Amino acid sequence: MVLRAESPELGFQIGDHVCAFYNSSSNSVDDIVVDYLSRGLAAGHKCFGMVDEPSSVQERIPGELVSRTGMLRVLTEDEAYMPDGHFSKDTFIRNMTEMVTEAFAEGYDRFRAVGDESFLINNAVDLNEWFAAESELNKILPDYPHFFFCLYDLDLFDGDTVMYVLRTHPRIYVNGIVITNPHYLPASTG
Amino acid sequence: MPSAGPRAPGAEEPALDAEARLAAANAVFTLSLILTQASSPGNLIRLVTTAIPSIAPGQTAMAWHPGQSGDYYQRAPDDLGAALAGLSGVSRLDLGGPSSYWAFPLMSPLGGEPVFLVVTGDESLSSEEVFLLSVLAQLSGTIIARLELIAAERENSQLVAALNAELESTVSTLTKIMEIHRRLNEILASAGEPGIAETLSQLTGFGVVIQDESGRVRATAGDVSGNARAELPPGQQRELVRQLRITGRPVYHGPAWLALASPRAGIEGVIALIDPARGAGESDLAALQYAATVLSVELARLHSVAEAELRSQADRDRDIARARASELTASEARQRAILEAALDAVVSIDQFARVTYVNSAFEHIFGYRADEVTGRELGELIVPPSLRKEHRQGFARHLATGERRILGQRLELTAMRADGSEFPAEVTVTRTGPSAEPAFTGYVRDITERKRAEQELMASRARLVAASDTARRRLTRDLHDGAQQRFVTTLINLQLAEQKWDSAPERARELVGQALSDARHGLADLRDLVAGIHPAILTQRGLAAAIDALAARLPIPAQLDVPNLRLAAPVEAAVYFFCTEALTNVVRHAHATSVWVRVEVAVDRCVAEVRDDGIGGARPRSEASGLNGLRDRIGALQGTVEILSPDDGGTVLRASVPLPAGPAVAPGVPL
Repeated sequence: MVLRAESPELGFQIGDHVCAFYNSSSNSVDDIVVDYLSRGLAAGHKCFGMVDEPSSVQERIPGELVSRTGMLRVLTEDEAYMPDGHFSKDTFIRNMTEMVTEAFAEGYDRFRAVGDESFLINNAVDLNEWFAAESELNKILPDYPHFFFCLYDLDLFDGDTVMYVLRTHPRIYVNGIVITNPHYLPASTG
Repeated sequence: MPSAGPRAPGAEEPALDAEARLAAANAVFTLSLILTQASSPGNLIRLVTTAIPSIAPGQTAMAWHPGQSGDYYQRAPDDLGAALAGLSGVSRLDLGGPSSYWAFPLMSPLGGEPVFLVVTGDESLSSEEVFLLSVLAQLSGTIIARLELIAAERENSQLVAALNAELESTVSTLTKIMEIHRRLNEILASAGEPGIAETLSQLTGFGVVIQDESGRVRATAGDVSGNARAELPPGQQRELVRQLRITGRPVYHGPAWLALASPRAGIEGVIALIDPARGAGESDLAALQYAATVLSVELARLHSVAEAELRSQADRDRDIARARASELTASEARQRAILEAALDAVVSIDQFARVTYVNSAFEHIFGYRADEVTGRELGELIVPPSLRKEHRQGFARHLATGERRILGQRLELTAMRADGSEFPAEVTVTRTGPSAEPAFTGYVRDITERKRAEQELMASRARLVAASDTARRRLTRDLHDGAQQRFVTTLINLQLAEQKWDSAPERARELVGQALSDARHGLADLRDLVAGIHPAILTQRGLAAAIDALAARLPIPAQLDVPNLRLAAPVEAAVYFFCTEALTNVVRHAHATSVWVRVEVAVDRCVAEVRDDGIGGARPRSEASGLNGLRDRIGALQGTVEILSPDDGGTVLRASVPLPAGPAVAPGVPL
């Protein structure tokens, strides 16, 4: 899947928590990440990536887009999601909240984050805790001008998990546009 | 048998309101859009079936086909398959159990019966669930078709890409190989082994060494400092060559790739591509392989040139040898032909005096066949017993000492025929064999006839001398008894007449008359004598007149047939005296009544024949007989005399005298 964004923000809206699906058999998640982050950097956003191999992403992003030190940060999935060696919803939410608030403290008017969630399968993370975290993001982030973009590999996840992803993301990126997710269930009900 | 039948969605459930249907449809469409990201139909079915429990709690789902299995569906169990068979729309199945079965058509693979998404649960689906799953199944079927199309396109694309890549690689390789071939072929035609090495080095960028089968360097190019093969002992060199021959392709050995160039057994060369880092690629090895092929051609060419030179020299040597052999054979054939045609007997013997060859004349002269004498000792064959001991001693002496008493000399010896008869032979012996194996060839001439002729000649000469003596004595006697007496009497009568001339003139006149008569008689006697020696008529008038005069004095009639031609004086004289002697014999001994004289003059010969009708049986009585005298006289002119005188009567004497060159001429012109 290639992000096609005729609009400057790909249809993203302030505070968006968007999910997207790809299959690793046909697509390179790095392509999606590089495109998403490059657009953010070009717009002056502070960007944060969580991928399997950060170097393969950083190397492909033009250096001139990184106009400020610390403007781009790319961590491994383990570093970003499991800084203590395991996934913790609370730690994750706290870290995300800190990164968003720091970005604005640093003068950025947008914070853009993207993560490949394949680590869930690779590390046998408790999906209930993870989706609790996904749902938690919906509660705390709308107050901030950020874009959270969650990528799921359809070759790894089954349909039941896909339904959970749909229930926890208010919007969905599909066929080059971001649309409202009819499956989304607000945290109070999900 | 479980029964199945279509049932309209929601037939047993309350219908959904429009807003609920729209919301459900939106959710399903959204899900379907996500599912379009599935990588394959199988993955899609996996996602759909695992999503079903979230969409319709308590339900599970599987993709079934009534009669077959596929990549993303299974062949339904018999009862389910029977229920699915013939279905075309969404149906609730009644399989007779407590569970609820709903079949949602996905798509029809291969144009046959559709694959169904079968949803099973303890409880039947609600109308909303049936609607959602119907839409989901339809969209999934569409996605599957799309995925299959994409997969087919991708497969085709990959195939095309692979073919393109392969083609590009092939073209690239072919281009390189063509360049390799072109360059090496150009070099081969002009620069030989150094050119091959240089070109291969340029094509590959590696150092190149060309060596022979023993490791001797024949050409180098580029950096060849790492050439380790040259340092191998000969035994390992040959083993390496053997391995290359077995492998049949470049082999990496030490710091170099090696390829064998061997147009045929015994002609070998090795090309080494010095590659310590082992970085040579496929095209480099292809170049090395082809360079080995080119080197094979070059080696074959060099070898063929050398062979051609050797062959040319060998051909020349062989031609010379053949020419010599042919010449020798021809010479031997000529020699053999000469020997066979020779009148002399030729006999060859080996060092043991055994006969190795005799010619036809030998067989004729000695009375042996060649196969009778070959291998036998010569002495026992042709040497008379009385001489064999001396012969063998002489032969042994020559072999022992080399003494040459008879070699190369013409000797008259006595030889012996097969029947034991002996004959005089003239013998010449030559030595023909090499010193280690001496051989001898003898040339033997039967000189019996020559000896007889010689003896005859000697006898003839003796008879001529005797005849001459006899003629002289007869002439002396005739002169003494005839003319001399007459002239003595004439002299006495003239002396008496002189004494009486004055005293008794009549007596003196009578005595002179007596003396005159005696003188005439004496002259007549002298004429007769001279006529007996060479008649004047012959000299003056020729043979016909002389013979006619002879015949006129014969007491018996003679018939003459003598041409009136003049011949050479010796011939006329010989024929005349032959006729005189023959006619005298006829008168004295034949008691004949008639005689015939005939002389024929041919181109080269004069034949005179005297024939009588007398008593015959004439035989020469002695060496001094008149016939032998005739033979001597005629023989002196190379003529012959023959006598035919049968005892029952009649005698023919015939003389044949060769004529000197030149025709006979008319009478009166003595030659």
